[in-house]
Amino acid sequence: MIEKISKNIDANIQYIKDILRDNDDLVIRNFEVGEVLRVKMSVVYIDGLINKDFISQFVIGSLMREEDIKSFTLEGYKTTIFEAVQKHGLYSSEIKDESKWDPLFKAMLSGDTLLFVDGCDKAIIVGSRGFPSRSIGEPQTETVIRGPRDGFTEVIKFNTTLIRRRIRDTSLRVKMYSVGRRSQTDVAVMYIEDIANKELVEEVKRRIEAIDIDAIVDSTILENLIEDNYLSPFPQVENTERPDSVAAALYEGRVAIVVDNSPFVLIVPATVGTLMQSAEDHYTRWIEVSVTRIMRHLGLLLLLLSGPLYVALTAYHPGLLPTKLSYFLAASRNNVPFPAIVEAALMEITMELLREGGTRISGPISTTIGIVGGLIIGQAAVEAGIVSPLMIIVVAITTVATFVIPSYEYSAAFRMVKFVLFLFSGFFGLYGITIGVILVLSHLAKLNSFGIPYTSPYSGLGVIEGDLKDVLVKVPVQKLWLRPGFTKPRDKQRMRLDKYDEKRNEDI
Amino acid sequence: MMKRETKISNIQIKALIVSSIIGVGVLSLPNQLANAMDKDGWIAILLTALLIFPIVLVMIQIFEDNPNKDIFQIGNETFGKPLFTLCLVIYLAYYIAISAYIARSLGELIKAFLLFQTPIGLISFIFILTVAYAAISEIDVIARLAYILYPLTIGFAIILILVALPGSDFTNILPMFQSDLRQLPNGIRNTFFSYAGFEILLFALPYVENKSRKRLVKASIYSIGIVTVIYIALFMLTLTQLSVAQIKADPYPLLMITKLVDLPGYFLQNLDGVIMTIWIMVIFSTMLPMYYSSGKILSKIFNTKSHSIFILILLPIIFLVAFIPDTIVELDTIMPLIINILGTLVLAIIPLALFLVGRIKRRRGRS
Repeated sequence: MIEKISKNIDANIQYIKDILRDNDDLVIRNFEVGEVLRVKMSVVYIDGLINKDFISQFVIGSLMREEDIKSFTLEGYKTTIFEAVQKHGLYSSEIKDESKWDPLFKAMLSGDTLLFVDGCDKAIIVGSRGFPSRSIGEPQTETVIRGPRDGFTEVIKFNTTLIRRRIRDTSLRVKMYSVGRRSQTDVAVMYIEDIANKELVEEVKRRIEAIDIDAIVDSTILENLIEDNYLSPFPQVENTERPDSVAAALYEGRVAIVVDNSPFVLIVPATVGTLMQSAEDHYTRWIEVSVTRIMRHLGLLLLLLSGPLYVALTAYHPGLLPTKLSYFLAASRNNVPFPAIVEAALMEITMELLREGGTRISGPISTTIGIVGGLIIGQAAVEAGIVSPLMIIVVAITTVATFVIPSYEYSAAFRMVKFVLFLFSGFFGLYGITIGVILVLSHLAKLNSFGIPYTSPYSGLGVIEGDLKDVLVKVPVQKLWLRPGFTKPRDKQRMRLDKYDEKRNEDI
Repeated sequence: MMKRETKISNIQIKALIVSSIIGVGVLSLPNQLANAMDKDGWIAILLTALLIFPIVLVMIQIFEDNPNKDIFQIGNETFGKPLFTLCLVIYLAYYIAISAYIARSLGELIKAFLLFQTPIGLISFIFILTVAYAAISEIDVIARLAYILYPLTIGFAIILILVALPGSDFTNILPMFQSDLRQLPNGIRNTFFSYAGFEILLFALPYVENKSRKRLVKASIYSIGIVTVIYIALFMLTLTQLSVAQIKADPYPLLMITKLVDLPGYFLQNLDGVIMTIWIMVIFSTMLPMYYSSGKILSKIFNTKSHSIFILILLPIIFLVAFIPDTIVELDTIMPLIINILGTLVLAIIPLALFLVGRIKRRRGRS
């Protein structure tokens, strides 16, 4: 490997050809500029990654048109040909000179164009990225009734722009990294310097800098690499497709990590409180949000406990139920040949199959799967006497409940925990469920998200700042005058109420 | 990974004290009180709270006198290494005894109320295992768990009171002040150990974020106050539901009440399932700090960095101690006796001695 470029343009071009051999999308355009000196120049780029019109017009075109360059002679000029090109010859706004091969190749492979000038030991990188990309559309995974409709795309520049448009603050920081030895993926760490906790930001940067991997294909991989506990089923990093959610998080003193080629932006720290919030919560009136939040938490409990409780009550503690209900239960399970735990396992496995089938196959077929699976199998299973109708209801409720939790990863984690609780309840009934719940709570209490307790604010951090006002219920915005305390923000105050009240009283 | 600071906030310390104190004893407390003082048991609770408070103040003062040191450093400096190691062994024995007692009584109660065929040993073992899983972590995690679970501790009392209220007969509380006041020391002796658990302060205080004396005193007044209110309320509740003779006869009068009441709405036949579930969590949060502390003590004695290995070593020890008594009657006679003797040393004598010797040494050092 040669480290620096040479003065001989032909040697340089040959070197590029050697390194990128067998790449037919490598384009090299040689031309000569100047009526007097006829300096050899070359434009090198990868076809498809750049905007061709731009290069033709504002690089090659401008070099050929510009009078200064045309009539350039070494006599009478205080500068070199390279400086003349740099200062007068190019119409494009984004140029940079570079003498080392590594950054040059990296720039070219990310969609910039290289301009070589004969006799110079530096080349010019012209910003010309113009690759095909999806336009900004509505987020697929997080839809809202009221609220902005733009969502992130796969291009990092679009994504950072979408966020920046919402924060016109001089202290918004966009720190770029390139991660992955081979993939050289762009990663942007975004935060508001005046608000975000310094240690948190440092920690995020440190963890990203520590990564040494060949490729970051998607933000999920980065997420796994920077998580505090990668063995846990619970996600310790939040992700979203919505720029408004990211902006709101940045204003709370959190840090966003934008990864190129991924429409999902990561937000840290995540807690059990934030994972139950949806973007919709910012746009709906507080009383409705409060009711929905309570419903979501109820959904969480149902998802986790309804199945195991069914097993525990039928198999171990029919006496805890009212006598009539207990007889009804026994009657409905009269024909079922399996113990409750096997019955539950059968239905849960069927449900998981249907879920996976429905997700992988898209479009009209997935509806068929829903009907065949949900209606026909359920009905037939009851009629055949393999499962009791109550079990079908329990499984259906559980499945619906998984969808009310805003974060998919979070609800998936509880789905996994549910299977463990099934086992516990199958062996030890209600006692087993209690033990299971205690174990889950202990695990959650042990978890940290970038040093912040995962169970905040239920475990104490942020309670004094009033974080509990925006967790299980949401109070009106006027009452949320402090930023959430769990992020330990540098600037705690979000709103000054005295001024607000003054203005309002004036009107009256 | 980032080096995490182990810190406890002031609101967490309140929760830690409350959930450490209220535990296995709460179910049998009315029975013990009625045996000692009939209807005037609440006087004993109140007086005990007043007795406990100076000890808590002394504990806070010990750390005030020795800033930025933990109990192990302070103990070694004041008592000298051999003597303080002996003290630590006493603490360890006390914690093992009380943990074993908790695990065994849990097993007995679960078998009696929920799982009629499962062996007690298995039930207790699983419980110890669960506590061990949580105890292999630092004090900040313990404090977080305490804060999460302590609404349950208070909710446990509130639910009990709410469901029992419709059928209550408040005239049962009267007449007051009928009992023999000479029985008072006996009553206090019984209630004193219902307040056991506050000695977690010795292990937790060095980690508190804001060590201002005023705040700590406030936090301990608050937490001991809450415990006292809950105890008195539960005792009164038992009086309104059952006759004194019944309370004296039944070792767990509170569970009897839950069997008696029916929930309106006819969803659950009897509440003991719900109450047992909450109660398991309540005693989990009681045993956890003790288990953690015993692990820490062993790791200090053997001078290791992490205490997790000792948590595992303690597991079979606690289990075996729990099954030394053959029957529940034996358990309820022997264990409290041992715990009482060790507890007096652990809760009162050693902290007081630590404080006094420390003061005397300091005065000598100055002159």
